[in-house]
Parts: sequence; structure tokens; C-alpha cells
Amino acid sequence: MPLEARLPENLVERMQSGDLDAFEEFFNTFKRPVYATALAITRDPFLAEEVLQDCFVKAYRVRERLDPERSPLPWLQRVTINLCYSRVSRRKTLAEPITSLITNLVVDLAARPDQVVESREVLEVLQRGIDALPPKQQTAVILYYLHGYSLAQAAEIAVCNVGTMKSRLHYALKALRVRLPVERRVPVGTAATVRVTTR
Amino acid sequence: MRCRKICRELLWLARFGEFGPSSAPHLDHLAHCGNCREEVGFDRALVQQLRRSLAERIENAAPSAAAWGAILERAQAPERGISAFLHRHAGALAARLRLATAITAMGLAGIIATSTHVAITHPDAGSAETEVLTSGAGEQFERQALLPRSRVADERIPVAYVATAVPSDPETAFLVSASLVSTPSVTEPSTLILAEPDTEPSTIRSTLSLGPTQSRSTPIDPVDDGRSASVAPILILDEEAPVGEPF
Repeated sequence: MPLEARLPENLVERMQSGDLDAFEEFFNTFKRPVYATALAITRDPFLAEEVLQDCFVKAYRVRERLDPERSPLPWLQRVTINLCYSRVSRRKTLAEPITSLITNLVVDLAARPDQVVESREVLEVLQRGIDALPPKQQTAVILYYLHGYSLAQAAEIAVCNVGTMKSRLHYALKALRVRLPVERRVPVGTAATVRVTTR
Repeated sequence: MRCRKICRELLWLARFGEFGPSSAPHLDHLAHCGNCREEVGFDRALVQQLRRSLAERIENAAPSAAAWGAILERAQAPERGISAFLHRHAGALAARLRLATAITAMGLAGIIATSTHVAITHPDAGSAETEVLTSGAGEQFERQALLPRSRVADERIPVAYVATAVPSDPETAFLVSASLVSTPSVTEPSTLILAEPDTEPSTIRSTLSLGPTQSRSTPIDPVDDGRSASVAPILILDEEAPVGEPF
């Protein structure tokens, strides 16, 4: 959902006056992007739903502070991201060591032919790579590549400037890149040439 | 420019879609360099895979139907916790805090006022140690009075000692001689002047003039023209009292 999407007429004002129907409409309008962010970070549907509930309960309690002239989505996304990381750090579900990832890949490479194909395994490597990214880089990747927000919008949600957002994306891609084995660093759909390198 | 640097800049431009007129050299390089094409191509493929990976995470995912009911119930329930308590009682807490701050500030001011002495004087009044003078240009200024320092060597005050009795104890006699010696015998033995027994042997009246105290470490004043020698120090000692150098 784009940040500039127009809200239904007087939705925030009606919610601020205590109209529960307006609050339900508010929830239905924003639940998908909020839930998507929560699920992308936590990878746990139950945890993501807890975060969703916390986020909207908080939005209702501070409804007087919401600006009717602006979309509440950046604020909702920011709250969601903060809630996710506070819960994830409590549960410690993320952060697989890089060494184990690379070891798995090296073992796997020896057993496979050199021809590179777009495989399910590459996606899984990337999934684990995303999980192992630092929270700020992970947030940048989710906002920019999953939600498709512009750099400025993603920077607004992450409370940083555009240059910082670019830098976080750059380092996130760099980190993901080194997780892939050398033989797989070939554009998808092109014939692969095996480069023998020792690392 | 080196290929590696161009490649890095190309990756940056391609990632954020920032190609423009200034990117022409980079694009020219890309057309001729197979390695850079491979790198940029891999980066694009990586981004595609990344988008797919992220989309997989939320594929067909939606909050449960019970989510809205739970949110509504929680939103209408009274808030709990320390933050809710603070939010509810913020006004009362602020008022009490203001009162406590005012009382503390008054107490502090009282302490400072009672323990601080401030002397207020008129600028023209001067002080006991200074005098207000007027310069030739008509300006007033304060001048501290110059107090002459007395020269002890020039102003010898005659002191009269009255000995009640000649000390019989040798140790006491030694101490008396030590306290009265003004010129210890550095090069010459001490001058011993015995008082002649008077008609009343119990008391001896004599007049002493004390010079500056000198010791082995104090050199004799070269300016001294010998006036001090005119008045010889007088020691009152018992005849049998041991004479030695006082230390």
C-alpha cells in the first residue's frame, strides 16, 4: 500500500472522536501492510499477529496524537518494526551464525554439478541471509524491496536520511552477496562458467 | 578510472536507478567490459531473488479473523502498567513536583542568604588601608599606604633584665645562657660578663642590648658598620655555670 494513498473521508477525525466503526475501517485499511512487515521480520504468523494487535491497540490509545492531514502508515510501520525487534530479541529466534551457512553451502557445492540453476536452495540461502542481517539493514530491505517504498519513504519510516537508507541497502546486498557461493554469482538465466577460487 | 571503481559506481547507480547524463562514461565502460556486465547482472539477479524471498515470507498471509475482536477488546479495556498510571495522574504529579521544587528552592535560598556575608561600601569611602588621592588630571584613585618596615639592626631596643637569683642548677644556667647569647662563638669564645655581687646578692640589675640573632649559618651583615658592636651583649651566668655553645 503506497504511503500517499488517500484515506477515507475524516477517518482519523472520526476515530479520534471515539467512533469504533471508524477504528475498524482504519484497521481494515492498514492491517495488510502492517501484518506483512511483522511477518517479514518475525517469520512467525502468531508472533506477527501479536505485533499487529499491539500496534493497533497502541494506535487507538494515542489516536489524539495522530495527524489527520498525514497518512498514519509511516507511523504504524515504525511502531510495527520496533515491536517486532523488541519481541524477536526477547525470543532470540533470529541470527544464525554466518559460518554455519557457509559451511552448508560449501558441502552442498561439492555434491552438485557446476551448472547454476535458479533453485529453491538459493532462495533459502537468501531467507537465512535476510534473517542474519542487522535489524536496520533488514528493515531497509523489507521497506524498499518488499513494500516497494521509495528511498525517501523508507527513510521516513526508518527515521533516517536518504543517504543512510542507501548505505544500509548497499551493505545489506553486500552481506547477502557474500553468502552466495561463487558459482552462483551469475545472473539468472545465463550460462554459467565455473570460477575456481579458493577462499 | 579503474575498472573496479567504475564497477562499484555502476552497482550503486543500478541499485537505486540513478542513471543520468553524468553516467555516460559508466555506460560506455559497461558496454565494453564483460566483468562489469557480469557484476551488474548478478546484482540485478540478486535483487530479483531477494524480492522473491521476501514475497515468499508473506505469501497468502493475512491476519486471522479473530484479530479485530481481540484488538477491540484490548483497546476498550482500561490501561494498566506504570505508563498508564503516569498518564492518568500526570496533572497531580506535576503539581506536587512543582510544589516540592518551590519549597526546595526557597530552602536553598535561605541557606545561601544566612551563610553569605556581603559588605557594601561606598566607592568613595576608601578603606582603612587605602587613601583616596586625586591625580594631576583630576582623577581620583586609591593608594595603599606604604608602611615603613622597621630595620631591627638600626633600632635596638634596650631591654632591662632583672635576675631574681642566680640559678643554682647548672642546666638552668645553661638554658639561660643559651637564650641570651646573641653572638655565638663562631670564631671566638663567648663573652662572659659576670655581674658583680651587689650589696644585695639575691638580685642583679643590669642593662642588656640585644643585637640580631646570628648563628653559624647566618653571615654577618656586611653593611653593619660596627655600631652593633658598640653595645656588647651581656650574659648573666653563674660563676660556676658551665659555658658551652648553645645549639
